[in-house]
Amino acid sequence: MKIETFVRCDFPVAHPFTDVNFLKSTLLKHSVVVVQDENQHWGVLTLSDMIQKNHILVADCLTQEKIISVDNSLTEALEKMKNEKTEVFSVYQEDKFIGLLFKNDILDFLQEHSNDLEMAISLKEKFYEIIAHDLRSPFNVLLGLTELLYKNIDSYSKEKIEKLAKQVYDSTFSTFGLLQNLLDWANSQRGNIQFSPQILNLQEVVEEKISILTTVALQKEIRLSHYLPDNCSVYADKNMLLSILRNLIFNAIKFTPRGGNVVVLAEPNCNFVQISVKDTGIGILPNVREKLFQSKELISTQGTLHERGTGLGLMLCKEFVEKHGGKIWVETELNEGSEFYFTVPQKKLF
Amino acid sequence: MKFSILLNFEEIKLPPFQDILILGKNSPQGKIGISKSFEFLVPNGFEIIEVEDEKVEAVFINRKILKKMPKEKILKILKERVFPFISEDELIKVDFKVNISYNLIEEEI
Repeated sequence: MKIETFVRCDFPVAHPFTDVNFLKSTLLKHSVVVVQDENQHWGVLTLSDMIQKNHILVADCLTQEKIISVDNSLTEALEKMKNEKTEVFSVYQEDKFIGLLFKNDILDFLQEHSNDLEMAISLKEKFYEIIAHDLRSPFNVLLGLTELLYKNIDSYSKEKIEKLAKQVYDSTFSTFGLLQNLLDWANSQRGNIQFSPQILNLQEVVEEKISILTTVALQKEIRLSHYLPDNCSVYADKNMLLSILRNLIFNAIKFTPRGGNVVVLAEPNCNFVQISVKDTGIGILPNVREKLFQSKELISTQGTLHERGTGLGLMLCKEFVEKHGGKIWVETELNEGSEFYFTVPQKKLF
Repeated sequence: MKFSILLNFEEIKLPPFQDILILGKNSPQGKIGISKSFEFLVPNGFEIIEVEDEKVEAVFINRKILKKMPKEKILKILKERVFPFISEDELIKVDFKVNISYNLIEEEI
């Protein structure tokens, strides 16, 4: 990375034949003063110059200017600063002074990005962990089930084969959901996910998602329904909206005991539509609730039938909702149920 | 009320020295400031000679003297006879009058 973006042009300037005592407070505030007259750049006066040289005029206090070319990289600049024991460089482009480069600005930037880097590494580790554990297990199930099927297909009854095939389907279905989340997450991390909002009929989108998840709900004898205003439209990216609904409905089914209810609701609110997924599930513990939407910490909790999860889903929901300029939050009561709310615009806002 | 005034006046020349100025390393006036003021007061009147010395930063020598003696010789004299008595925060004015005399002039008739 080149130093160009770190070059500061907002520096105090003094004439070379100024009394240096007049610049004391400026120097204490800004550390440096650029010295130039109408015709030429004289150099940079630093606190160290003022201490070293005991003269009256600024021009007499100047020491040899420490310069660097704008073509240098951050690493080269830091190395030079270390070797020349300086905190600031005058930056030149083709023999012309263009500004100042401060060591502290570079260090602040590196510090900030080292935190980002640490976070990215930790997320990447989580990603590998998910692949290693959460994807491996369903594949083991699939391998075992399909092995049973192909080795014994002649001896198994039709009912037995149907039961095994159903188990294969269920395992594949949940694994596919996980893969979809992983893919969305990886794309969003790389900035590759496309955001193409359009006017959508909310009822059509919700019904499309519910029809896919009905099979999963039926297994736990959960009633999955929706109550939406007539002709309610939203301005959203269809894939993102489907992903948000899939994750919230799937979570609701996961944490709702057999025989419960999951319902999708919506109501217009100013320029937004507030959509919620409400369940009669086990609720969420306060300490888990606090961390639900934090990307630094992926929370994974087993469902009522020990369904596995990665915590990626809610993180993606938050990211996708925020991409629409909306908000996401949860209201929950232990053993009573939870309601996840999110908002998306009704129409194009900006 | 009664005033008592002592009055006298005389002509001066600027700069207030005519021959040599020795500039200490830590004197309030620096090399650039003094050179600039000389440029205005006596353009081309003095030559600045930077010196490698613990206490002295530069020596300003009137070009009229340099016409009579090489600067190396002048510097050698100053280093031996004047520099040892200088503090680094001082500006020293040196009177340096050069007399040139010949012992004998012989010419063929």
